[in-house]
Amino acid sequence: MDTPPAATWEVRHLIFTTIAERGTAPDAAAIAATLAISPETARDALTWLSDHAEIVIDPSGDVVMAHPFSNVETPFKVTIGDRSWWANCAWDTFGILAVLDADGTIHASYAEDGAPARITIHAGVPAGTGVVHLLLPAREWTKDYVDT
Amino acid sequence: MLLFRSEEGVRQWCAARHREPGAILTLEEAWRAAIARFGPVLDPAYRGLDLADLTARFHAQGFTGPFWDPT
Repeated sequence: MDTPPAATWEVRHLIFTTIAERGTAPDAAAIAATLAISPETARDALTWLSDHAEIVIDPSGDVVMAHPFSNVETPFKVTIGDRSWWANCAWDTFGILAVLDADGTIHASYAEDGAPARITIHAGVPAGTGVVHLLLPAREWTKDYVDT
Repeated sequence: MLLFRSEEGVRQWCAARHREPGAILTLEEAWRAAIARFGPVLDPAYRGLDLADLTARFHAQGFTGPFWDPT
């Protein structure tokens, strides 16, 4: 791994802690303001993190994915009380509750027919109906975030 | 990484797309695998995905074999 630009890991940590706390990731301006760095430094860090598959950004530089969190609305949602987070896929919904170390509810749909699915996790025990399919093996996960 | 009602649903979905099924996890397995995969996400000391460490975490949760080898 090549050397990251200044403040890269601080930027990454801020992205993940913010999306974990609030459900949305900060943009470059907010990152710069929070970490007292220049917007250019923030953008360089975002680009490096995306180039190294730590996050996914869109062409404008905003965070789209910070696995397991999604910064955009998707068909996969996690709720804890009245708080909610978007996930990138069905497995990531489990990942969000694992990261947050919390009981919660997974809202998704069954791939067979699109019917709504609801799974709860309480004290580390999932309750509901279904199986999760991981199409690609682990070595492919960071190469194809869309098709996994 | 999609949710299905059943393993048969996975097999039909894959067949329709001319793909081989990957790993089909029970909900409990999906939870344990997620703990292994995403455990260090909020660790302030995180400095990139350590594939050896990820492999060890998968093994600790009982996920072994080529599918779970990230290297």
